[in-house]
Amino acid sequence: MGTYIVRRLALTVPLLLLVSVIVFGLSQLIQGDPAVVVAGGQQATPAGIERAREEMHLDRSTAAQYGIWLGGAVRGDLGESFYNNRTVAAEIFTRFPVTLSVALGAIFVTIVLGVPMGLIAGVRPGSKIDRIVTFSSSTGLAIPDFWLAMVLVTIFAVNLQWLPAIGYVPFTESPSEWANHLYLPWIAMGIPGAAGLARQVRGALIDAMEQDYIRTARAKGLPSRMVVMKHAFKNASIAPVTVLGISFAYMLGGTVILETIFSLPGMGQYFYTALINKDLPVIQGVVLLTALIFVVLNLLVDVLYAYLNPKVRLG
Amino acid sequence: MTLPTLEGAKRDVATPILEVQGLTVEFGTRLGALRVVEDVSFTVAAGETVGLVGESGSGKSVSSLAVMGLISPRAGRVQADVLRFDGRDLLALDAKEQRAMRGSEMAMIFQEPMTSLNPVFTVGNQIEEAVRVHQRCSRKQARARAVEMLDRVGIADAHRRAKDYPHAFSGGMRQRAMIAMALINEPRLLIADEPTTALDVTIQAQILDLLRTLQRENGMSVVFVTHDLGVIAEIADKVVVMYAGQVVEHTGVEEIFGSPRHPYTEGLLSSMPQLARPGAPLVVIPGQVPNPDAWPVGCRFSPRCVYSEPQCDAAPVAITTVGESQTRCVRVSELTLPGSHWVALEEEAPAVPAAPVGKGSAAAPDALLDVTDLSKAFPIRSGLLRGVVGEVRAVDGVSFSIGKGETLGLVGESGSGKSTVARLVLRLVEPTAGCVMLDGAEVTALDAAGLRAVRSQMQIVFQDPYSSLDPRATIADTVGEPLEVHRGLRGGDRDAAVAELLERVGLSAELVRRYPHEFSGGQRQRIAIARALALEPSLLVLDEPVSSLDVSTQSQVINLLMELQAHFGLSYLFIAHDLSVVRHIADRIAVMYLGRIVEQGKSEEVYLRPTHPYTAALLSAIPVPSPQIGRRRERMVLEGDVPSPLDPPAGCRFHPRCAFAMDICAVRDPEPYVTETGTVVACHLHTEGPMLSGRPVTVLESKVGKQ
Amino acid sequence: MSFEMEPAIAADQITDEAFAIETGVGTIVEDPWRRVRRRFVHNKAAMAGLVIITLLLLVAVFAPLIAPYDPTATNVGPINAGPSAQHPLGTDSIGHDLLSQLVYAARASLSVAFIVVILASLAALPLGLTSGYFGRWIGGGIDWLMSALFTFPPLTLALAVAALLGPSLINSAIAVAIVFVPGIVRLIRSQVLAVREETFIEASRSIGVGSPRMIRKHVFPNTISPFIVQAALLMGYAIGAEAGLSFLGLGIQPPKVSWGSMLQNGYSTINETQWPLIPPVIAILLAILSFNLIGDGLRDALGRESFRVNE
Repeated sequence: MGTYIVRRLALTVPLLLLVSVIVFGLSQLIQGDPAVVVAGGQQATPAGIERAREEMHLDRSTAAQYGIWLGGAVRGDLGESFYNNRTVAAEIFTRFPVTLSVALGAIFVTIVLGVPMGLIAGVRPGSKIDRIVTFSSSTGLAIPDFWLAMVLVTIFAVNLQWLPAIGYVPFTESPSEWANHLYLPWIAMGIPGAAGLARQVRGALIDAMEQDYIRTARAKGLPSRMVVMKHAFKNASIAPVTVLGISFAYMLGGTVILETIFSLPGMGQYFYTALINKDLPVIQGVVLLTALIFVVLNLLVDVLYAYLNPKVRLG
Repeated sequence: MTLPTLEGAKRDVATPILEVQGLTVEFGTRLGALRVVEDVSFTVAAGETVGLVGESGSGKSVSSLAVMGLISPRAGRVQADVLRFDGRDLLALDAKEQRAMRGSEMAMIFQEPMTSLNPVFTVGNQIEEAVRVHQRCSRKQARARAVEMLDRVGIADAHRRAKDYPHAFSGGMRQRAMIAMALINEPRLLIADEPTTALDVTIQAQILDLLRTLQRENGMSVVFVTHDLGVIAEIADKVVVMYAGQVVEHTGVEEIFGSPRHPYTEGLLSSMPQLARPGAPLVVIPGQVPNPDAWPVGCRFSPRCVYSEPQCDAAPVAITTVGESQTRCVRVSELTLPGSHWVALEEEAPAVPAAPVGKGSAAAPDALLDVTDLSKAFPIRSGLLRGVVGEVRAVDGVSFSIGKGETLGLVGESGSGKSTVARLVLRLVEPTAGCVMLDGAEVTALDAAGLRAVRSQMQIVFQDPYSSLDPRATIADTVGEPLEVHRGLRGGDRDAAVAELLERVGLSAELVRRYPHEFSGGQRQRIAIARALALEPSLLVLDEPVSSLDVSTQSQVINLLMELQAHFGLSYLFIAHDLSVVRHIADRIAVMYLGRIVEQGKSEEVYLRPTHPYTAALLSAIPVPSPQIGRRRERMVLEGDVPSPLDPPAGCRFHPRCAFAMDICAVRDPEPYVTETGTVVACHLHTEGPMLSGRPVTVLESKVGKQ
Repeated sequence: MSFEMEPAIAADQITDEAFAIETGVGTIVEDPWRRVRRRFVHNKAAMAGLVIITLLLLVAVFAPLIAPYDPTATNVGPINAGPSAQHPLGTDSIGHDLLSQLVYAARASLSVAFIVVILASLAALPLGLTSGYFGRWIGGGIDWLMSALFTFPPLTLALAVAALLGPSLINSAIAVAIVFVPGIVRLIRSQVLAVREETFIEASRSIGVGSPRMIRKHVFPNTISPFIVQAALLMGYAIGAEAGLSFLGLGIQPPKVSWGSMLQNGYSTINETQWPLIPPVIAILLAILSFNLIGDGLRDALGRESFRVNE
């Protein structure tokens, strides 16, 4: 298994290189001249624009620009925002805990709702309960999460006034307030996730239940509970675990819409502001970071996958 | 299980362990309830082995699953007049009681050892689970029992192997593990559903031996489900022959082979290649097994029966009992059917002396295909950079030739490299070394264009008729493809040529617009043969063309191949694992073991007087379709599995499993030796010391064989 | 949760394949496409989805005939009104007629979905086929590129591309299409890799069939079923993604409307009235749900045999 992990690690180097090219490539998409923006927009003087152009190395070749940008990124220097002097890295550093808080709770909701739903549907495909689960998970996937967020805010914050509508309190300040502010985002984000996971678990379980070894287990006289929970479930957990890891990685990238609706000062909100302003360094910084998070989590998922699958672990 | 029953108290020793009467199984489908098993009755006495024989679709597996209670009530409906196990009514048990009985009092093993074990739990864990679910004992005790049982079924180093996952076990070892799991609670009845079908013959012999030994030790009864009459002759006391969901004959094993009473049983027997004169057409059962939605009203076998009369089709046929035997045939009292006339092979033909004796090779005169020193090594990649760390020498220095109009049979077990040879000859796989000459052209030296041209002269038919036809292409597209690619035939011209080819292989020309899934395995194989014939090749490579077909279909396809050969003067490279099929069709036989040819010679010579110990063992492992002879004869049962081609043994590759191995065998590769009958054998027994010098290994058995 | 009953397929639902596996009897003979059609037509949920999508498409095509008012006209009636005879779906805070908006928004939302799926397929199909068919270097290279694209959360990448290209209907479609490409390529590639192992490919090679013909005649037709399923599901995702982009102002621009931008308008006045949030979300929900039902129905109808090529 050691070789397997080292090999997986080694393969991430060329992957990250290509990722960096794509992220840098975003700068080639931008419409209009960023130097004008930096130099003050409509009030920019030709001299000011020229200075900005040099500062941003826009006078150099594209390849050189990439080299300079990559050199900085490797050292953790993602540049500065076009609009204020804060470095992108520092801003991300202060905002990441917010996004992490949202994602942890959301993934918890996803698992707690999704796994049992998938299980009860998967053990009896075609039954009434299966049809209910399948239909509600389809609906859960179809509802835009931001709409769900708006409804939750309207009901629980505006009408019932049980929970605060917006804002964020750090965990270190007050754990209970932290949670109070996050319940609604967790649910809004967790429900679509749970719907997706339930479908995954259901499909994987049905697949596993059709395998020959299930017949062997039944021929042994195992109770159905053990046939499902031991023999089918461990095999069926492999695919959903992969999907779960990926969706957690995506959540950690920050959910633009939810953080905007709930006014959570996380990465998503930061990203949104940058998008509206075409603040290129921030956009690149956030996109690069989310890709990094994905790569790391995907690595962990692969290790877990190898652990669940003895053929990979020992092969 | 505390079901106190009056019946149980009263029963005496003669009470059968399993009684089945009027068993019917229905499945719900869109066509409504479909009966796949109807009115099946048989009994199994204590300590007895009952063979359940039939082709695919006969309902034999469904019947055994029904007895085991493994047909879930939501998928199928099981009904029976009597379904009693050890005096208890199985149909009256609730789910919990049934479960308590499964795996403890009656157990089952299945056909697919590769998929029947759960890949994510260790073998030991899965066996000890069977103990713990039925007996009160600690995990440690259960583990100890599991290890002990693994040891009993012949897993070496059982303590350590119990901690392995199934993927580390070979097919034969997995089937042993399955047997350990099934027998660990000492059941009174074991249902074995084609337990050896997926295994090589030498491994099959091991497993059958093991089952017999364990049965004797435990005194259990066995229901043995199989399609192979040879296996039945070896293991069964009584036989139940099934056809299209019904029992057609139920009688003792001697009667089945000696005096079959149902025409279907007779048909099955006479279509076995072992029982036919080599080279003569096989007796065939015409047509194919009908699907359950198309069963005839009257006798279900009647449309395929040579003895059929109008009265047979009038009404459902009831089973008639004569003495100990039961037969479902209208004409049972009128017909006298010939039985199996299998005789010991050695008594058949005298040896024919031929070529000069000594070292050399066996090249056919007037060779069409000449293969010299053909080798293929597949690289093994591993580690960080997926570097090449070694190689599997799948084929290692193979030489043979095939004359015009001749058939060479290439025989070997899985892992012998025989299928790789097929692909190397056609250059579907690039050889690492060696030379292939076809009709004077050096195939191995051709460029892409030359290769395409030469491909029209040699064609291949593959084993699996299901995956060798594109499911999204019509028959016209499939069979017509070579004509399109090589001759540019289009539209009507192409279809006319396709129609002609289809008729040539015995299919109706009207089928050209159909898709492959509408055809049975045998028909698909005919289509594949038609495709191979389209360009009028001179050589056909046949890679196990009949091994996935039912017995009755197999003989039809073999006859077709022999007829085509006679008509077109084709040469065949016929690859198979079944020596009796090869002996029937081939002029000469080459036997492969671990990438090498160990023996090559005239079919009758190799088959009757094998000179290599491996050939002898292979022959001896083939079940004999005669209960008297089969159980009397001495058998050479090979120990262990074929070694991994990754790390083949030094010297003679067969020596670790060879009963006659000498010191030199572990050190030096044997040189080919030509016997006086022209057989080329690579074995030190002939060259080192005076032991064989060209005589068959059977001579040795009486002298050194008892080790 | 009770596991006491044996888990199994209900008797009336047993499929031909399950039957064949259970009994060892060959599948009951039927033309493959007829079987697909029969199974799909008998799937009530999938047919409901098909009917709804057809209705939505008709609404989009005949929007000018259906819409009672000009969707861009303001103050066509009272503001923030609920449903009434004049305004069946009410009005918003500046007096747009919501029914007219919804009908015209169907045009934008559905056409974005179609554009996205067509664009993504045009790019992904050739990539997937080549990467699956041509071994180590070409295939590995394309796979490498796709792995890199996979590392970005879909919405994040789509937002970045849409924002940098400048917000518009077509740019948001391009952005979403880019995000869909790696998924389709991976699907096709894995399918091709499986098909490539089939004996019928080897059989055609032994006849001397070259790569272009092989891909066209044998590989592509055997990868198409899962692709069709995926395309139907992606239609649904595309509608959701467009809604998200437009909600954030990075999609369609006023005065044009899509369902997503209607939600954005509704959100901006959420403290005055919640009513305008209802019609567009129902439209989105119906459209996505219907595409998902069609996709699921197609998957069941095409059957597992289409995914594994051969049993």
